Amino acid sequence: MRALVYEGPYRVRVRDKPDPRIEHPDDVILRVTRAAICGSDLHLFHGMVPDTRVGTTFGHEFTGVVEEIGPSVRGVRPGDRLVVPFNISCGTCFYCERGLYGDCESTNPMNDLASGVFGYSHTTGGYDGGQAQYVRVPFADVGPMMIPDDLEDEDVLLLSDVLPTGYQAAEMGAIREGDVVAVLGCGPVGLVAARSAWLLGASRVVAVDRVEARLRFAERWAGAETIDLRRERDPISALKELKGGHGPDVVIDAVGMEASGSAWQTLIGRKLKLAPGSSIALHWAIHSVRKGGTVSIVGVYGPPANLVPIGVAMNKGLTFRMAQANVKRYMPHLLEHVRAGRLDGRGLITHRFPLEHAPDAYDLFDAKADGCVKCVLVPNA
Amino acid sequence: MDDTGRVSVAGAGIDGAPSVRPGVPRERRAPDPGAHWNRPEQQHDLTPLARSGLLHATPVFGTVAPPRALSGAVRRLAYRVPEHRSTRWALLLAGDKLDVLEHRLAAGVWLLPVAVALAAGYVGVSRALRR
Ligand SMILES: NC(=O)c1ccc[n+]([C@@H]2O[C@H](COP(=O)([O-])OP(=O)(O)OC[C@H]3O[C@@H](n4cnc5c(N)ncnc54)[C@H](O)[C@@H]3O)[C@@H](O)[C@H]2O)c1
Ligand SMILES: [Zn+2]
Ligand SMILES: [Zn+2]
Repeated sequence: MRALVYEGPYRVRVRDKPDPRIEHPDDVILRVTRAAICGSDLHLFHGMVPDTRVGTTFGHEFTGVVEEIGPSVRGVRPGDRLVVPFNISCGTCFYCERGLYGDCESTNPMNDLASGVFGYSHTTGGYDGGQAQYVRVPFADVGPMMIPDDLEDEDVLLLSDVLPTGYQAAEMGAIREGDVVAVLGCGPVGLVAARSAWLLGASRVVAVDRVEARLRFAERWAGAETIDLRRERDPISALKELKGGHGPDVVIDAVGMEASGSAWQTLIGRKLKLAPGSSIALHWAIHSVRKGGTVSIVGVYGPPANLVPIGVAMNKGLTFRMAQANVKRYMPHLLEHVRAGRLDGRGLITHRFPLEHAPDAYDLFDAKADGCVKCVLVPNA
Repeated sequence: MDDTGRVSVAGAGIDGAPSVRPGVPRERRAPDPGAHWNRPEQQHDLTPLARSGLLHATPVFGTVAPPRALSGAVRRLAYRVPEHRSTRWALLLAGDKLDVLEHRLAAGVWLLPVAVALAAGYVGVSRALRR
């Protein structure tokens, strides 16, 4: 088959690769119809994620048609259309039973950090991803959701990650009626978090970024006010002013380890790699949120450790919530929002490329050029 | 905002009650409806590196890129270091760099005969000219 292959930092190619096989009785093989590129893929693309092996295939947001099923699979048949959560979960372990699918302990032998994730380095289990013609999907009766007949693949594609992640980000903020919510980052995840904040009862939603097209998207698509980092030299004060000097009730970090905005964090974390990336967005969240407020983190950070102002957080009495999204738990609820037009995932897709042009798609999405918000690959065009 | 003071975003406030939020409470106790096994069978191929501190590999894992060559040795070493130590992660990042280097070198191996031929040609020609 043809598949995207990692060859080193800033270098991905589309090459021939053996077709995936059923390796466990609960696997299915999916013929991929759509595979999105995620902000998380950029961390891999930049060589920021430990144990990213040359020759592996990225892609954890995909839809497809079942091609082959393992002998124990019961709920899925060849020909079924599926949308697949980025977490690989067994459904039966201590964590899955509690609904913490992102913490499943049956799918990642490498560490005790997270569940297996498709196409996301050996740090999350070493599975190949969906930016390919075919992909192996383990525990096919647990994670994947059947795509309803009346919906097209692109309508539900972002239920694989971005919609649940953005929604969970807002939900973890424990937003109460009337709260002021700030969202750092207007990538796909931040945009969904901002839109979800309204659904959860916020009275004011403010989104922060430095990319013109994305700020306009935040206004149009998410109905948010915006703070433009190209003009605002002191984002912490600007955020604090939002609630009479107190700061927002909830601040959501939808940026993660490759945040810009601090020369020393960029030098130490992103260039010299003495820390796993920059944590400046987290600094801003902690400093700007009101005392007793909540910081919700979905932007990805990696091991082993970042410098964060924990003393400020402690003294202010903040609540922290954070997670790799528990995608499966949110799919049915968010499907209703998609149907009703309250979360228009499809509307976030700005660019489509055939799989063969995946390297160009990475460059474009990485540069955030040409108004790009969400980039989708079409493998079997 | 409209005149009632509510924001006119479609569905604003619709998930206001914690009881309708899918992730509340954070830990629910209900078995997954799709799951139908107790402990899944072990995936056949046992090549992954055992998770340090835990007794056995998970029943399912990826097998796409087993560790190989020098980068593989460094990665194996890394997984012997507990994950709470920075050394584990530094070794893994070093393994990544080596992996890229190994592949670049391997991709360049075909250059070797060409280089040898060119060098031989150069030596031959310069000898001939000296005569
Ligand atoms: N927790 C999860 O389950 C989960 C799932 C998906 C994505 N993520 C993570 O969420 C983050 C966002 O994903 P995305 O797809 O939207 O990525 P993205 O790269 O498209 O967007 C990130 C945005 O942040 C902006 N930004 C950079 N520095 C900033 C700063 N200091 N303040 C405010 N904005 C800043 C960038 O301009 C960009 O628009 C990534 O770290 C990704 O890995 C987490
Ligand atoms: Zn993603
Ligand atoms: Zn599990």
